[in-house]
Amino acid sequence: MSDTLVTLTSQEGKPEQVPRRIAERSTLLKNMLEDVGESNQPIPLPNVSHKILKRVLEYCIHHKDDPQPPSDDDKDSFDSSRKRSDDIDEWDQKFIKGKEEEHNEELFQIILAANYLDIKPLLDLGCKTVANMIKGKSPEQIREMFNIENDFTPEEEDQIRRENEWAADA
Amino acid sequence: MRRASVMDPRKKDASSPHTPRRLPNPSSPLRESRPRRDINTLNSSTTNVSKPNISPPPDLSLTHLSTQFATLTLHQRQSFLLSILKQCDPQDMLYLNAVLPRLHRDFIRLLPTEPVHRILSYVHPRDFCTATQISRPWQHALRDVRLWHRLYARIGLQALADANYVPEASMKVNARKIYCLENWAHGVLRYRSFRAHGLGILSLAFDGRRVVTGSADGECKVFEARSGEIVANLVGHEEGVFSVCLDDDKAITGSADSSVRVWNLPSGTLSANLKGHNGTVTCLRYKAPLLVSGSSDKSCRIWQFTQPAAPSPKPKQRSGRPRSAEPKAAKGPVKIVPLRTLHGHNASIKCLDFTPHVLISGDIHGVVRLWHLHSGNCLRTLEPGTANPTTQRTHDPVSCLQFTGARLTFGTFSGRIYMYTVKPTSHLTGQSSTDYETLQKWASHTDTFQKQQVFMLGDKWTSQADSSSSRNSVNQQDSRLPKKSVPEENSPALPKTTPQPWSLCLQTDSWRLISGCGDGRCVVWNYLTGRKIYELHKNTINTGSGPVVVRDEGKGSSVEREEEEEEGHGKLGVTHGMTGVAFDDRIIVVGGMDGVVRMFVPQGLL
Repeated sequence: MSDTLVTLTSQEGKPEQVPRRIAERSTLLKNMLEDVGESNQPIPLPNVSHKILKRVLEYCIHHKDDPQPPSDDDKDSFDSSRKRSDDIDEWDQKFIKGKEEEHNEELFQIILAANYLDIKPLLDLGCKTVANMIKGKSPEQIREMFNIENDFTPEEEDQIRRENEWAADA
Repeated sequence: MRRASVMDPRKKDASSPHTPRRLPNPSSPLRESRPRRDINTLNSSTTNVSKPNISPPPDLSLTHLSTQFATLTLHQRQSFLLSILKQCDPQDMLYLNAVLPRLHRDFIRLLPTEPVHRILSYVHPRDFCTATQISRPWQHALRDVRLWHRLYARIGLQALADANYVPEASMKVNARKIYCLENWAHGVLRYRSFRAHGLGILSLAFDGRRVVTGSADGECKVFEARSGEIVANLVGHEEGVFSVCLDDDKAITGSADSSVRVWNLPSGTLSANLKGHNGTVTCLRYKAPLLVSGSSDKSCRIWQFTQPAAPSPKPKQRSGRPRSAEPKAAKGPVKIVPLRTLHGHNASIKCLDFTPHVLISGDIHGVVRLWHLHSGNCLRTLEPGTANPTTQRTHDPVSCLQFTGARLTFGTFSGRIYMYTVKPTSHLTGQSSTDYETLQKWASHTDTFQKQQVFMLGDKWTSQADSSSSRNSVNQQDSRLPKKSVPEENSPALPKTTPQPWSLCLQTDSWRLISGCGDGRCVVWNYLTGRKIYELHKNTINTGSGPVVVRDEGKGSSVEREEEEEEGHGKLGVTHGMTGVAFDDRIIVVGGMDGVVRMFVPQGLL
């Protein structure tokens, strides 16, 4: 049953076949497959490009034996261990880094896809990576990094800066 | 039909705004979904905009175009872009090639809410202050109340999110607050200590600024909490001081010599020596203008402080202080009148607390009595320890108690801490006096005192897993009841020979319960979640994964080493008890039988 193949159709209409248990790393697909039962119908994923789908599946294959993460309700209400953005394992680190020149674009797409497909660990990985990019940077560095336009007036900017200076004790 | 059921779960995933949009019927070929006429119109109006670096003449149709673009479907966009690219010359393509990799994505502006909040939940609060300076969309994302609910929920304090997050305040104020609470919740604390007394500390009080300690040798000291510097030495009691409390300009102490003494601060001079009790004064509470003392003579005494209308007493108190030769004359003497004595307890009273109308006291037979403060009549008794048949023969002394009006919390020698929610009534807090009958009716109603939870000082961390599985706080009472009965069976109440995790002192605030224990630990619970969050033991913090030693930042940094040596000499267990704990949002102050005052401050707070 879990070895049956599932066909996923990317945005471009290109089919991709994966074992069902790989596809089920995605909560969205898992629920769909449970609803549908046995079916050979391809599942359309119009929000995911083929390239990103391949990347996401690469992640799912590597993590196929991980325990299913607890549901979000549990996790967010009682997270006794502090949320840390720097506890990323080595393979994940390498995976999310991807190709240097496409890094941000691909990371963006992976987060979108992980959110859409509901793959919590991958979404977490992407979000931690972005959080790490922000860590300790100046506003100018962050704007440059993400190509963000500063839409504050100089006066506003000045005021916000002044009221948000974090004293060095922390 | 089948197709519809395939789409359904996707629609449920409403957290992603991207999800529902652009779901073309997969059976239709891609190209046909685009309304060809539209694209043609667009193409014709924009043939000269293919160069991104072209400088104006400002073209209205260009503005129009860029707003239109956002409204197109995915396929329309793609066709449009393709049609533009097809018109590019090699130079344009070179430019694109150079520019594309640098066209980074603005994650916070463009991603759906769920990933944005997830990203921000991994960002250090300090970086919130930077992030809010980036742009309006970033500022907007950071101000989303749902984000803050999530941040508070993560540390088990969702109930406090609305009270703590102030949208009008600067990001720094909010970021600091959550950073501080995160550190409290996770036990990321700094530590200071100093030796206050040569003998054990029997009682401790803290008013946010100063700490007063009562020692077994009869001496009391008042310290500046921040610096540990001595403000005043209160010398006069002939025996150990079992109870202390602080008020603006006075300290009040109760001793085994049966007296209650009132001291002026900061001078440390004796202002009154109240006699009447025939036994150790074990507990004191002062809430102007009333002082209530409890004693091993089984009685409570209520005293009223009156300051005669001396001309503008306040400034006089301040300025008159240096002339300590005649403090009474300078102040206008405080008159302290014994109002009444409450009899009813059949055993030594250990603890008490009161609100404007209701006094609650606990004794060493495990009986808690509620009193009508104005008439001195008993309203009701609670005997939690004897409710269980196995403990009926012996008693579980009530050793510490806090009553806030909304909540009654008391700890016992068997290490149980009972938390009751108190049904609110205007009679409880209102200033107007309430007659006995009304209050009696309220107090005796079965709904008035609801046992919310029983915390166990002896609980090991492993049992945390049990309590966390019953995470629904609404059901906490039910889930705890069977659990409670288990230790009850196999721990005969108060076997004095074996070390018991006596609850010696406790305090609660809007989310924490902290209790000092007979074995030297201070256990900190988040009572909103019902979970123990850590234990403080001397200079170590145990969050469940083993004790972490923190460096002493105080000047008396030799205290811990000194102590290790002492312990090597095999001290009696009784020297380890933590007899006083007091805390506020900024600091936890702990006093123990080893004579040391320890202070814990979260990281990020000065």
